[in-house]
Order: sequence, then structure tokens, then C-alpha cells
Amino acid sequence: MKLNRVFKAVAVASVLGLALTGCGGGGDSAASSGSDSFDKNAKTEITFAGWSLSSTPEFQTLADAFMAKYPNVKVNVKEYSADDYDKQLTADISSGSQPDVFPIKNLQKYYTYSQSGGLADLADIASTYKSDKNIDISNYELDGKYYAMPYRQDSWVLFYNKDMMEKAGVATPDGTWTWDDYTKAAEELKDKLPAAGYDANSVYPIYQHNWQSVVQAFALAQTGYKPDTNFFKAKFDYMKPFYQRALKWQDEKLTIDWNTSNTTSVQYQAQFGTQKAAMMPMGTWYAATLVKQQKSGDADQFTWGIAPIPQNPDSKTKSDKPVTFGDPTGLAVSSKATGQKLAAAKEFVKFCAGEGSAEALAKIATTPAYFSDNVAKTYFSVDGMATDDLTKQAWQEHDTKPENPVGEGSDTIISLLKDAHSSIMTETSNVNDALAKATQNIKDQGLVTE
Amino acid sequence: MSHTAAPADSKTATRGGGNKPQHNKGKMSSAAIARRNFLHGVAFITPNFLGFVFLMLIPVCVLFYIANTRWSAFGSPVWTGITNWKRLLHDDVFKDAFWNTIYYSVVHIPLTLIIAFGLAVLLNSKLKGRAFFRTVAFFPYITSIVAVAQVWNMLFDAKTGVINQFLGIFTDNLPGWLGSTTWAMPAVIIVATWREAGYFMILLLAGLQTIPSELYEAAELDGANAWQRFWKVTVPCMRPTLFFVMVTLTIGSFKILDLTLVMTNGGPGTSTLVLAQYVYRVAFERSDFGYASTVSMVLFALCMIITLIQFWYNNAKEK
Repeated sequence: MKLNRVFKAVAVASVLGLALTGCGGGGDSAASSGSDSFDKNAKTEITFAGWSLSSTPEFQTLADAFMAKYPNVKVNVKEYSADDYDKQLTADISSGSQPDVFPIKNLQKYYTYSQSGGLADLADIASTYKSDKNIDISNYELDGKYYAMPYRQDSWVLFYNKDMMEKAGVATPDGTWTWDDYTKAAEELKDKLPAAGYDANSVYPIYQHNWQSVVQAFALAQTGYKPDTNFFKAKFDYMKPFYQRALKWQDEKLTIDWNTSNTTSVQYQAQFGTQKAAMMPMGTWYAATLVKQQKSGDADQFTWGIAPIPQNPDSKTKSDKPVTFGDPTGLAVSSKATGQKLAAAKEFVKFCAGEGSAEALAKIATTPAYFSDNVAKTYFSVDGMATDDLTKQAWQEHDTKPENPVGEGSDTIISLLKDAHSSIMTETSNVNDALAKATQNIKDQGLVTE
Repeated sequence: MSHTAAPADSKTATRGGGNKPQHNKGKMSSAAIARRNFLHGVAFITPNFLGFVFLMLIPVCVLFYIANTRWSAFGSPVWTGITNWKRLLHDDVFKDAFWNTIYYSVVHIPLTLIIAFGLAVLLNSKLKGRAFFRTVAFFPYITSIVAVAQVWNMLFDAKTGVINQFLGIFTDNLPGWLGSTTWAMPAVIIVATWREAGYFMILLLAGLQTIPSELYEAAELDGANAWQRFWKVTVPCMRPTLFFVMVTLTIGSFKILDLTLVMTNGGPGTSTLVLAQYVYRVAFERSDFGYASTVSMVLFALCMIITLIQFWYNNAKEK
């Protein structure tokens, strides 16, 4: 047993050493004995992982809110690197030294983690929230088991600059737009923005960020979300119309082209915040950044709003809520924790998914996973937040599909689709060829059997 | 062994031939000296050797094992035999990465060597302000790679970049640089050469300064011109330094990662994806540590073979 652990640690270190330097340190997961039900009077300490603590207040906010409710439990927040979080966590889990509670950043790696044996089953917490319509925990279900609970659920919406659109005399989004309406508005802006006093060389109607999800995840979500029949079978035809639109926007110079955006690392925050683009699809997390930057002067002062993301014009089925995508951010509990530590860790995760912590998060303009009316009220009372009805509606009502479908091989498929995205958007390969190549590569990896 | 300190033995005695301790106090027997030398040697080498064993040798041996398994870094690796090696043969992305690495090395190594050697010879001559120029040439090497890549990315911008604006004076058929599958790799090579030439120049410069000036004077007296002096004096005298530079340059080129990672992230498509980055991607983006180890074995074998050839060639030349 011991030898096996040493072997694994050496193996991880060797692979890490080959590709990178160093890896994260250990945590403590010393077991304490006791009954499994949470005793709020017992003195307990749990560790909780977070990243970039100075600029990401959410972790401390959650810990503080929990400690205020249960003064006998101490939550120690442990800092990880934001960029290398998954690498550090991988090293920790494989050596059995993961913190008691740790975030699962997105769904891409959730499946791999769930199979690691390092995560405790949270079925008992899931039963609390399963039928609660204010929160959606279904993304974490794997064969009836839950290894994480969401505490944040960002989703993609359309940010727009009201001042720019009104000055140019172009109608602002009304909540019923399809991507065709969006394109039309962008073309109209292209004609009218220069006359409204905006520099034609540096100001664009829209900004399409260079991430693959901005095309691929919309395509998956808005064509019925059937990953088992297309995504995991490496059939990517559903992406084609979405790529054709993305290419049209860049060819008509409605947005900064992908190449420039990628090679010069354009910051989407600057692009929208300094009024270089009038509309931008982005995740709801950007609202908090924009509020902060308008206060600090990093962003210009202008009136903005959020609209539901434009819908697929070719969609046959009408959904009552706008269909968009977004991965939840979840919290998992270490399988190494036992006794009162485990009980406290689970109670903490349960608390973070619920309304109490949601309000604490809403106060710092972070979009929680629990969307009750009270939480919405708190969120929109943040100073500097857009407060029109459409914004509120867009924030609260949506049918959000996962950005990364959960299943075996999803991280490899996503990685290969990233190459396809780069080939298509740099226009070095046409859409059909690039997607066919991705399909072939995925088959060659032995991930798809026919 | 002799017992008495006979006059005939006095010469060998100093070499520890066989004098007894009671006759020569403070002197040791040959066996004792050998043992002492051995222990001292071991004591000196142990810290380094232990580090080598635990940080290099064992991990590399483990890597040989993992390369034949399926492993997500969690649980125990599952032995899969040659499955990973079969995957390599059908993996187009791996093939792209392999040929990109070869392409990069084949262009980058001679280019850097020629420029570095040229600079070294130039800055070894009695040039005015040569200390200044040496510093300037070395400067790129000590700058932060991320910052450098950002600046070069701006320079290479196909529309607004300085490079294309300059080239636009001569031709209308401008390269797309980082946005083009054909030109992305040359752009990376240009930056890599610019960055590393100064470093190798310093190494070569140190080598040049060890060549005795008498050799040049003698050659000059014999009527050798500058070109002959370069080939008949400089190059042979520089063989040890050149060999060292070639080996480090070659291994460094095959292991290139940082530059492509920050400049192009392997793109567009897979046009600048190199082996080291592919290893990184497979391991950390796809959690497929078994297959990543297999790919890294290929990289290891590639470096090994090329280095062995260089050693063999160098030995043959020295004889």
C-alpha cells in the first residue's frame, strides 16, 4: 500500500517534471473519529481550496458566511494557482492529500475526477436539492451519484452598450433575437457607428471572443443538446451553421478577426469596457468585472444592459426560456475525510449550494447557483449593476446547457476540437475539412467505436 | 612486498610501493589510500548522485513503465502493453507534432549556430565598443519570454505589424505570419534564433579566447589568408566548444515548448504544435498520462539518437 503510494507520487512527479516544474504541496486530511451526523457544537476544522484569493473574494465569502452560521467550525481557505488549479488538484488527489472541500472549476474534468476515487458521494445532499426549482444539480449526476454540488452557475448572455446603440440609432435587443437578428443589428451598426462619432478603424459593432466555446458550445446547446448522439459520436455537422455565421462576422469586419484577437491577446473586458464593441456575448461573471471596472475607471462610463443570448434561427422547437450554455462551478468533498470532518465538509457544501450562501455571493455580484427571488433582489441592488427588466429577466431565466458534456473522453474531444476551432477561425482550413479532421483524430484515439 | 627501506626501494616508496607505517609515520598503505580516495570521491559525488537518482533516474524508469499503461493520474496505472504504441502510429496530431519538431530543429540549429558563431568571431576582433555590442547581443536571452512573445506577436501582426509594413515596401504578397499555417513556424524560428543566438555567442566567444594568438601569427607568417586561418585554426581549436554548443542547442531545440506555447499555442490548427507541447496537452488537458508518457518516450529517443550521433562524430574527428 505504502509502496504503491510512493510509486504514484513519484510517477506524477516525473510526468509533471517532464512537462513543467513542481507541483502543489499537500494538505491535511487527518481523520477524526466520531459519528457521521453533523454536530454543530463540535470543534471542527476543515480545509477549503480556492484560487487567486486576493482578486476572487468568493471563497472567503463562503467560508465567512458558513462560520457565522456555525461558529464552532473553522474553514481554512487554502490558496491554489488559478491557472494551474487542475494540475495542482490532480497531483493532490493522486497522492491522497486533497483539501476536505475543493471546487470543481468546470465540467471538462469532472468525469476524470469522479473516477479518481478521491471524491465522496454527495447523494444525501443531492436529495435536498433535487426537487428545488431554484437550483439545477442535474449536471453533476453520474449513474445516480453526485460527486459535486454547484455553488455558482454562470450562463452566457448578450452584453450591449445602450449608449452606443442609441447614438447610432439602432434598436437595442428586445429579448426575442435570433442570431440572424443579431447579425442584422451588427451590420446596421457597422454603417451607422462612424456617423455617430465612433472611429471606424478601432470600433466594431460586436466582439466575438476567441474561445472555442463561443461557437461550439452555443452550437451544442442550441441544436437540442444531444451530446450522446453527436458530440460523443464525433459527429460535428451541427456546428457548421454556427461557424458560417462566425466567419461571416469576421469577414464583414463586424468584429476583430480571430487571428488578431488571439495573437495579440485581446482582453474582452477592455474591448467592451472601453466601448470598442457595442455588443458582446459573454458569461454573466463579466457583470461583476464591469461594475468594478466602471468604478475604478478601467472601463468607461456608459449605460449597459444584458439581453438573453440570441437563439438559433434554424431551431424547429421553441423553448419557453432562452437556451444558452454555461458550466456550473461546484464543490466536492474529499473521500479521505471521515467522521466529524466529513460531516462538517458536507454541511459546508450543502450550505454553499443553498439560498444563504447565494445571497452572500449575490452581494459581491457573483452569480450563484441558487436563483430565488431574494437572491435576484440582492444581486440587482449591487451599486452600478444594470437594473432594467430585460437584464433581470436575462439573468434569472434561461435554459443553461453544460459547456462541456460530462462523459468518458470529453476532455480529449474538447482538446481536439480546439485545434479545429483554430484552423477554421484563422481560415487556414474550411469548416468541413477541419471538422472532418477532428472526427478522424477522435476516432484514431479510440474514443469512438462504431 | 618488500619490508625494509632498502635504497633500491626508496624511489618506489614515494609512490606508496610498500613501506610500513611504523617506518614512515603519517604515510598510508596503498590500500588505505585507495580506500580514502574512494570514500572522499563518494562523499563528493553523493549529494549530486542522490539528487540524480531520485529526481531523474527513478522517474525516468517509472516513465518507461507508465508509457505502456492507461492512467489518468488517479488510481493505479493499468497495463495495456503495446496499445499506446499502436495509437502513436495512427495519431495524425502526433505525426504533425513530430514533423513540426524536426522542421523547427533542422532550421533553427544551423541558423542559430551560424549567427552565433558569426557574432562571436566579429565581437572577438578588436572592434570599437565591443563590450557594448556583446551586451546587446546577449540581451534577448535574459528577457522574459512571455513579454518578448507579446512584443513579437505585435510586430508580426499581418495587417498593422511593423514587419509587414516594412515588407510592404517591396512586395504586395505579404506573409500572414502567426495566422498562417505556412508562416507561423518560420516566425517562431526567427524569434527563437533572435533569443538564443546571444547566449551561444557568449559560449563561443569564451572558446575563441582560449585559442593562442601564436597560432594565428604562425599561420599568417606562412601566408594563410583570413579564410584559411578561420578554417584551419579557429574551427579545429573550437571543436570542444562547438561540440558542447551543438549538443545543448540540439537538445534545447527538440525540447522547445515555451515559445510556441506563448506565441501560437500550437496553432493555427496544429501547424506549430511540437512534441513537448503535445505531451503537455495529452497529459494535462486530456488527463491521459499513459499516452503522454509514450509520446515523451519518442521525444526522449529522438534526443538520445541525435546526441549519440554527435558524440560518435566528435570522437571520430578527434582521433
